[in-house]
Amino acid sequence: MNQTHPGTRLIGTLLAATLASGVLGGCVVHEQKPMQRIAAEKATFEVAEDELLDVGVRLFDPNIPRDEAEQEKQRIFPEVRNAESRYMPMLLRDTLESTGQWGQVRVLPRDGTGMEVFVDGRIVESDGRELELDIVVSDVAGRTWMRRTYKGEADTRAYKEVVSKPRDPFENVYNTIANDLLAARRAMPQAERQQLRQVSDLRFASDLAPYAFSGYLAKDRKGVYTVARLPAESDPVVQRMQRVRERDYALVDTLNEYYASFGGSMAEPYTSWRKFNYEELEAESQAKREALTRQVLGAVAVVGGIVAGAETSSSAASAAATAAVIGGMYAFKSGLDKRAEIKIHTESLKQLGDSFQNEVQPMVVDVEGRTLQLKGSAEQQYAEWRQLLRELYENETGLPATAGTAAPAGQP
Amino acid sequence: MTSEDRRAQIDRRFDETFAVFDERMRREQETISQERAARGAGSGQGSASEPGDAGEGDEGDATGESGDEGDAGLESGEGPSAGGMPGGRGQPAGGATGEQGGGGGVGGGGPLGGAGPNAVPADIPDGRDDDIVARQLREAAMKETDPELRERLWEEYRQYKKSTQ
Repeated sequence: MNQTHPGTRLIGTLLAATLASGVLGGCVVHEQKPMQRIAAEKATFEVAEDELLDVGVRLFDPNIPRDEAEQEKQRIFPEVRNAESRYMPMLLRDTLESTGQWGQVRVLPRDGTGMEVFVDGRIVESDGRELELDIVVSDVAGRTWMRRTYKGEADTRAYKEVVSKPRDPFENVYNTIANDLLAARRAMPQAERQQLRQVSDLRFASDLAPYAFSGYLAKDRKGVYTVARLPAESDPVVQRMQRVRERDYALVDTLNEYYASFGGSMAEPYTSWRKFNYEELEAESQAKREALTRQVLGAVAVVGGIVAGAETSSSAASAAATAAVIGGMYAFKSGLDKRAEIKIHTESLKQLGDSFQNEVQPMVVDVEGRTLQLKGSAEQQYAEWRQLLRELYENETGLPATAGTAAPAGQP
Repeated sequence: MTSEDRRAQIDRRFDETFAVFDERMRREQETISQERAARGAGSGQGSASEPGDAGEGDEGDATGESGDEGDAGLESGEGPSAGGMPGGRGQPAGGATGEQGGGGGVGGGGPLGGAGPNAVPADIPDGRDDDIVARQLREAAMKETDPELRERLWEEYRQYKKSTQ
């Protein structure tokens, strides 16, 4: 009977594992299964006018740590994040708009107001491989609809180069948010939904002419606004206010054009950056796994070989034990070599981020500059309209225009 | 000065300031439109995945999934519709000053004014290469609730597109 010494079997297994690790480790391809797509629910019939709430997606919070060391540790490139905080709301806007479930959907500045529903977001993670967003949805009356974290992995099909109509790799995340937003709207009592438009109008009016309009709104203990009564449509102040509001929409539209233009400029380089970043992250992860495997297996083989060599008396087993020690040392060393490969990937990621950051920074500066400039001149115009509304009110009522100011619509 | 005179005086100032504001918005939107056109020309229409192209239909994919992203008939972010109306709720720019309004084209009409998501006829192209006039026609058609008038607008759109090709 041909019996094998237990120590020899162990050494054989270790050698096989070590060799397999060494041979196969370098050529494993990390294939990702096709990701199941989540569709955003679209309107299949005409949505009632009073259900078509206007949605404002505010620029996201880029969530950049102040400490540079922390930025580096988390691999956050500030200018990339700043760009993403403007780009992602556009994608969400497009998603919401494409469903046909909403009225106007606009991207707003961080302090933007004037809509009926507001989406605020915070970027937790975004590296091309994974996207994590904290999303808060509220309405103009002051209710919070939902507060959730969304996390998704990249659909790598979006990174394929030959695609006639590329999708965003994180489309599932945006579609899920859109579906949850819709569900939240549906869960809301109809009467509350229908009052949002009036509340929005009155909050806008109260912001511009509080002496004339603040009495039309009531605020409960939770800070939620309700309509106490409605002003007469024939009121001259109401009529002028409506014309001011139309300009407010035009301003929002123009700001939105800036963001859309920015998004258009950024789309291509951003997709490229995410694609390469994804590849480097995957390569780095794989190198880390391999390094660890080789070092562990190498160490085990060395120890096993030494133990087996000490226990065996046969020359064949002794030779095998020696081979295991040598193989283990080789595997351990190749594990160390892999560490060098990891460094290369890490450096590549940094270079990619720096390069994209340099590319996108002027775009961010440009869109921010234009936005501020337009908002600045609009504010001057609004100040004049406030004054005219005041004069008109005093002329119409013969009363002095004095009243406390209300919080701008969209802000509690 | 009577109350009526005073009101008329205030209204004149309103009209003047509205006109200035509207002109500023119109110029801004025109600039953005030109920039987009220049970028489109420079990059062969740019990236199809860029924000603002959400209205684009979807080709589905090879995995047999349904075309879940069918065209909702929207024209988001396709540039301004100069001469269009301020967005808001699809309200006309109104006012007696003939102001330009503007950004109605930003989000595209979509579901406004009763035009449901299926309001775009099947033979209408996606509108990505629309110029400003075509965009105005498209928007007007999408916002139009009267079916007959809507069809006339779409016909205008078709004719215009033909004439520009």
